[in-house]
Amino acid sequence: MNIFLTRNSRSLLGLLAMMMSCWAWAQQRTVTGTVTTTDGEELPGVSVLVSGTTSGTITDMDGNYTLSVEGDDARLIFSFIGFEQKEVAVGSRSVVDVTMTDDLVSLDEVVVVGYGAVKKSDLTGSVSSVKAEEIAAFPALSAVQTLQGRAAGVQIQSNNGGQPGADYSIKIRGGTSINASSDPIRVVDGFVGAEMPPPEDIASIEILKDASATAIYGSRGANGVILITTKRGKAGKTKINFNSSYTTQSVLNELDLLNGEEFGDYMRQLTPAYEGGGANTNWQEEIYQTGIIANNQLSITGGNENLRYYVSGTYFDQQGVVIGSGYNRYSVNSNMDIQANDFLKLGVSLYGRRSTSEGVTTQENSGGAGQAGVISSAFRFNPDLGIYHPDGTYTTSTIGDEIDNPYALATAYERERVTDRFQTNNYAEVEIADWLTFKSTLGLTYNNWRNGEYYPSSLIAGASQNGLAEMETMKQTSVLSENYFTINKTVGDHSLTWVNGYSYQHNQSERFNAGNRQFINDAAGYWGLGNGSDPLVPGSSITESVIKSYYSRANYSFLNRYILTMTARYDGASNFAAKNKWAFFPSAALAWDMKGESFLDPVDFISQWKWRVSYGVTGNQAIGPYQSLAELASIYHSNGDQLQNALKVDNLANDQLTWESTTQFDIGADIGIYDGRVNLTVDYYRMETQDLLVQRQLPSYVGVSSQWQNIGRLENKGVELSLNTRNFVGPFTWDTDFNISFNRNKILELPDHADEFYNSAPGHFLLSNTGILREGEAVGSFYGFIYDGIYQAGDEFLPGSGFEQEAGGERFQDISGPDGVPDGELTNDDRTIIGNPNPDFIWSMNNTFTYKGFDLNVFFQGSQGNEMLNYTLMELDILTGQNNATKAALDAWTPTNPNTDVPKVTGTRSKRVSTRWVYDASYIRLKNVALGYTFPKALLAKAKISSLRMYVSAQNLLTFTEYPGLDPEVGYRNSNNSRNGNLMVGLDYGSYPNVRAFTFGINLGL
Amino acid sequence: MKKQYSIFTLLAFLFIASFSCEDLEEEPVGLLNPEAFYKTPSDVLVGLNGAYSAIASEEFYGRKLSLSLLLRSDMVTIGDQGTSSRRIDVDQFNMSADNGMVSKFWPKGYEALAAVNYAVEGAANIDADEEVRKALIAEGYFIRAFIHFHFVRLFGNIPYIDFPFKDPELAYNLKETNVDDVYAGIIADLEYAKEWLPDQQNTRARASKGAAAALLASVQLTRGNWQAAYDEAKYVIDNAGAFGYALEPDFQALFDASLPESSPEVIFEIDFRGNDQDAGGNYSRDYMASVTGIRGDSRHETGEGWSVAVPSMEVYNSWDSRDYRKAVSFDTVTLINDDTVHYSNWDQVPRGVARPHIAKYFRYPGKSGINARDSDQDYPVIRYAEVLLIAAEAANELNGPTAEAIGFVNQVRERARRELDGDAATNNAYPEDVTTGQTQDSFRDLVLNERRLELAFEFGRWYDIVRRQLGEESFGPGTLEPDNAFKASRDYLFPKFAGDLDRNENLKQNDGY
Repeated sequence: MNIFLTRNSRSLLGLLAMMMSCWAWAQQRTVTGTVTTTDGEELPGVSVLVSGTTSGTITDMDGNYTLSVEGDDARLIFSFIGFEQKEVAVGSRSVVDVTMTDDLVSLDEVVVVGYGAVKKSDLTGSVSSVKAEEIAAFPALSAVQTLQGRAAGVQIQSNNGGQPGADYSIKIRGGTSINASSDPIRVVDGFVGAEMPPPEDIASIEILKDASATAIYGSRGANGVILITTKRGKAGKTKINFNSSYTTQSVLNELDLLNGEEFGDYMRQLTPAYEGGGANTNWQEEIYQTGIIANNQLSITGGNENLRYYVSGTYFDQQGVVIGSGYNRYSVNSNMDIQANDFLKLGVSLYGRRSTSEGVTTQENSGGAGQAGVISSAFRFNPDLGIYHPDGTYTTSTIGDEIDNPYALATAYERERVTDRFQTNNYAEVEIADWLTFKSTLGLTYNNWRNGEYYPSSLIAGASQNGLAEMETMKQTSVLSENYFTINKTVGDHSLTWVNGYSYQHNQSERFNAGNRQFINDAAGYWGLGNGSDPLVPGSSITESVIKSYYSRANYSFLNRYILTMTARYDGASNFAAKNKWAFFPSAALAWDMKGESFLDPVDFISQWKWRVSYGVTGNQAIGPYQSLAELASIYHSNGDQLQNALKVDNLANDQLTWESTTQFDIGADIGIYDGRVNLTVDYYRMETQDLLVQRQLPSYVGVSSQWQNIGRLENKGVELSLNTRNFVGPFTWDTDFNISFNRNKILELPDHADEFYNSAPGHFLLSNTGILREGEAVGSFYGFIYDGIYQAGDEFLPGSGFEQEAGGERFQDISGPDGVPDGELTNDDRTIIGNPNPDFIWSMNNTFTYKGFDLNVFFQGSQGNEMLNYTLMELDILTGQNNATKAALDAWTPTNPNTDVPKVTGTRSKRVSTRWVYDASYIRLKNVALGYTFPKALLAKAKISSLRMYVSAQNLLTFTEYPGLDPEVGYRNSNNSRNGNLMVGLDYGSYPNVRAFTFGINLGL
Repeated sequence: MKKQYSIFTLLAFLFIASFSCEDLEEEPVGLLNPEAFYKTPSDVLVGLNGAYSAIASEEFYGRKLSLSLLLRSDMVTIGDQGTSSRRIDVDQFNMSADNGMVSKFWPKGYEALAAVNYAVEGAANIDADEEVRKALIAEGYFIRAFIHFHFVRLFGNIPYIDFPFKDPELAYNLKETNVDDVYAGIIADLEYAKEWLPDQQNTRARASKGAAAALLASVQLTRGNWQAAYDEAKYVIDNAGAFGYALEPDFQALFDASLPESSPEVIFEIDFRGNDQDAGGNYSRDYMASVTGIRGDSRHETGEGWSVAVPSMEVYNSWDSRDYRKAVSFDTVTLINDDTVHYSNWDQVPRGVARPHIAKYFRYPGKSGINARDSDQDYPVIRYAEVLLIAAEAANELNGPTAEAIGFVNQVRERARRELDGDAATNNAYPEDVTTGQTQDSFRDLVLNERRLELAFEFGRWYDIVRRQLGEESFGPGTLEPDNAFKASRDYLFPKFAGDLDRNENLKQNDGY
């Protein structure tokens, strides 16, 4: 939009100049000069006009110009896209050199919103912007990782610690759903659902939070919207940038476990005859290594007034901190903008990547016999065994469920995922009249991946079947066409921007998988599917979905002080039932620039004071296709060892199924003090999600366990504040960005008003009902017993089947019974809500200091009041001799060591979720600290280098937390599906460890 | 100048808008719509297979139901005390209304019923001969009776489901059906099944005419309809040739999953396929071998068992050691770390239990996964020996211990003595034939005890305890499992699935839960 305005005003200017050309007759003289940027770079292609005449020229490749002027009154107008226009009086000079300043610092900063951009001053919605420098502050695979802590109201966490290629979950203003995804949609240069290019290719990220901002995305806006704007070419001298960094990573923390000898002592308390393997192996050391990330990007950008380009290639290569894990990615990203003629503009964007991820198993759903993952095995496995038996085969655990040793799991197991992604997005923009433009875009993405997995016969899972191989491929395509008109008209004190459009998006995905067992040998792994003799049942599927939409947004501003935005989108989605495919999502917002009122004129120290209020409805259609249709599902049946076809009744038709809809109210203020030295943004919001998409549990005698229905309500409300201060300006600068967000999540209504229980524990724990959904409580609440310390001799032991009734045993509180009152007995009735994984608040503080060429960035991020249920410690310190234990086992209760908080070692204790395993996981973390030095231009000029910065940085250098587990920022199973993304929060089991990293990097400009 | 382009642009917009103006109707590929699916007899069979499959799943006969029945009886108790409390609670008569065994096998049973009822409804419209159609419907009715028969014995009054649910709203105020009416439905289904099913199927895992009659005999015995029970059992015995039934010569062969064929003794069995765990989730996945197997056992490449369900010492000690069936039913010595270890030392292994373990499933699991899970065992639901014992029990109630009744029992005993060399002279002496001189009461006890041993660990003992109200004799002082908290007023029934009771107030929980 800003580009459009600038270009338009320039051509108007030209027109004006043409009309006045008849007066241009007087004595002539020559003026020359050089146009440069503030960085001292020469600017080619700058238009230089003699004010009031048609005479003008364009600077050459070195930024030089020559021009004839008349008299001493002549004034020169310098203009160039992306720079502020500059007017200079020539006077008697014959050389006029000009420095042009970047447009970005202008007060009318523009903010990208859906289908356009608005001046920041005209913004009525709640939108956070994140700048390129922050996005590329430290090397990361995805910009999502670097977004963490950068914007108020946005909670981001890795789904699997420091795993190479790990996904990150994003929640904007809390989770708005239970079963549908709470992830915001991502829009890359207008392409909904496209992939973000590497962080280095991103110019800015806008996060749309309130309904005024998100309603233009209608049925997909309820979770917020992340708008990614990629870097595009600028007219001017060709610039070559090379960014390179090298990072080493190490595991943040290790658990302090029993060594071989201590373990033997521990086991002999249970099984006096226990002999053990005689070794002393620290399994964590066996599987951890120094992780390495090499990240390189080369970009070339440039162009002229009519053709501008940006081409970039990146190579990212990571070796994980766990042996056997790694990730690499090649990507190419290019953008081209073409001014075809005076009314037609075209653009082409291409993006492609190939990534390869080598995996190890972590966060296993169940860690029973042969199923353990690498990390949990490193904790559980006998420390008194070595890696190999004398005969060269891998050792397996001799206690508890038989599991593979962690080294075997990390090295013998093979898993590789190769992803090829191609995406292109193209536009044509026609200027029909100076107040009316039409833009049409066509985007395509192809995402293909292939997964290969092999359990060789040297691992338990492969041994019983002489190798197990599986392959899976997925092919996803998406086509999006957007077509919209933009009306832009200012009449007197009234100005209007009105967008009207239509969009069509089609998604398709094809999946295929196959596997085999009983292999001739392990040589070919998953590439030898044909070498097995006991094939697995193959599978394939295809799904399609379509969304069609009509949308409109009017932005009306009066006196530049009173701004009204009305937005509406009418969406039709194929995923929903025949009777309910279409829905309407309106929103309205008002902004009042109070500083513009005369009564604030005398208040000098206030430079800005804007109020915003908005209300609107958005939707969430994130369920899979075909859920409203009746379905028989294919299962299979065994008949005399032959597999036969069989069907189960899998779904009953629901002809009413439709969107979740979220109504959101937001009120906020943007306040600037002391000439913008202090900027404060505060927002209060309340969101209520209705018609929650729930798999309502049906009475089981229906024979179908559940049906997708729209029942239930959920509330998120909160306050977010961001404060930016420029503490020092001048040669020494110090800027501080601080943000803090409070969100409260509450279930208002559930199907049948009934509690819904679910299991969040690993399958081999044999637990159920460890999590609960209950009206009035937050999503993700833990459910279990209240731990009451250790029984001592002489205590009164509470009866209860399966509960310990002896000294040294775990003691629990009797809080209820069948009649809702304590009954003197421990039963399942004594369980209650014992923890909430949602933080009280999250915050971050970023300090940037610069002095001469030096820059220092110190970035803290924190979370307060979130609780974590630690299944890892439960497994280790239940002390039943099923696996290794932490050093706490050395202090276990015995008749001679009664004063301890560690229960005694016993073979018969049941695993039980209780407050014993729920911990405060609040933390404050020094996420990034970076020190850079930018070399002076003068020095570089000799080497024909235009810019050079070198830096060192460290991530996760310091952590302040009371959490006793491995790390407060771990997850378990939350990435399996969208429901788990909402429910499986604050859980700790078998997660890939988080890392501390040191980086050295250079940014080189030619 | 720009006017012509604006018209062009508008036209382009309309063009784009129209080409994408297809409707939003979903046309799923590969999705099976129940309204349009059932067209041929094989379609109906595929539907019925779904019910068989649900029965042969971990949640039903593969573990949750079968293990519950084992533990509940006096023949099996908990071995590993660290096992999950939902199992311990079933064994110790301490079940809460949300017991985790019931919450799995109750829904699974109804999943099977839905598959049956959809298939039976579909059968009405297929293009097939009346005989073929009725045989398929009969097979569905057999499965329906089989599930309801389990549930009515476990839970008493239940939701009786003999129609396909289309609108789930109807379920929220469904009334439960009382025990008598449930049995009326079961008997009607089985009579239809007996009339229309073929004499033999291609496998014993599918319902046949004899299976319907044998199950009906069991139903009538449970109801105390002695004449009807006798008639049905006698019908099976008289037609044993036509149906292909006979006692298996070697008792061990009934419990050896590595043998390819079903024994002629099996009348109806649940078919599991070994080691297919990666193919179909919990369908066809058995865990009985694992939960009854021995911790630390190294006989099988696939690893140890879990010692969860282990008989009490009294069960072992009270069984005459001359009985070959005892040797088949128990493991007392095994390999641990490749050393031969007697059961008294099995607790040297962590979580090990120093008692003889059930051998019927773990000794020969056939092809199986880790820990013998997902074994190839096929569990006999009813076998010819049981039909003989039903006939004997019913005959005794009608006419006392007649020679015919005694003869039925002796057939069973004779097989238990049999050596495989074909020379009757080398047969074991034990168990001896029952001789005359029995009273009606003593013979009744004798038959029940014969059932207990002959059918040991085959999931039927609990039902004998219930139908004969043997709770006090089975769990009181001096019995096989004396330490339980058995309460006759409560424990003959399981608690119904609490989840369903919460959703439908017309369902009533059993007393005491």
